[in-house]
Amino acid sequence: MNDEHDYVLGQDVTKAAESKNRSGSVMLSVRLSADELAAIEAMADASGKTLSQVVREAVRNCLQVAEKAQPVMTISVSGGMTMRTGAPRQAITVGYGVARNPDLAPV
Amino acid sequence: MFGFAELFEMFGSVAELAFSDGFREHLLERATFDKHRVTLAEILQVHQGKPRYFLNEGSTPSASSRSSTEQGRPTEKAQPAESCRAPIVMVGPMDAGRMLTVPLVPAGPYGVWRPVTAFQSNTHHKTRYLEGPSDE
Repeated sequence: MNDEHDYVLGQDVTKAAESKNRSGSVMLSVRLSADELAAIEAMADASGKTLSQVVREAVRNCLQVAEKAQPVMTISVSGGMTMRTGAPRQAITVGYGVARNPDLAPV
Repeated sequence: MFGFAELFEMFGSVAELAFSDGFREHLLERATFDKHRVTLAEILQVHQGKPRYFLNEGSTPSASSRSSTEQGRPTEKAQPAESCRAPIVMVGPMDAGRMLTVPLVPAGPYGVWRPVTAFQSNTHHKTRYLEGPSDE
């Protein structure tokens, strides 16, 4: 798709368009079921928070859980290559050929 | 048709951007290659960085058809719906240095604008950005 050619830049209106109050946040539209909306609304009422605050906290909690759930796997292969993935505090180290070569101790 | 002063008086300056699932799907669909893919975070980087804003001269039907006629090209190519709507275009660099062009329409709430598409800036857009502020 080459729709960039359909946008011809006219007058520079930066002074008028640029906001001095850029919040750094965005407005994200999401579709919720009636039950999900009711649950969020009830939680907001109970905690005295806005819907946005409740949803943001839920997202943060969800991201933290996802990060903690990801294990680390470190694979050391004879020849010097070491690969690691995941969060360090969940480390599970698998050494391959480590017993024969002390230079390839698990990281 | 009203002037840009009235436009920003009515809808506010670009304080915040609004995204939706539909827009993200649009970005995924229009990226032929992964390296061309534009993410929502990259659009936010442009907005939070040093963007410049321009009136979209392709936003009125007369401007679009005049442009095609002047260049002697056939005019049967339909303009994308979004190019007929977006009154302004945001252009600016991302953190990685790549430059993006993001046409915007008012989203409804005052000061909130919605991107209709986003793509890597072409030469025309980069040149206009680098020209610096005009004498308005």
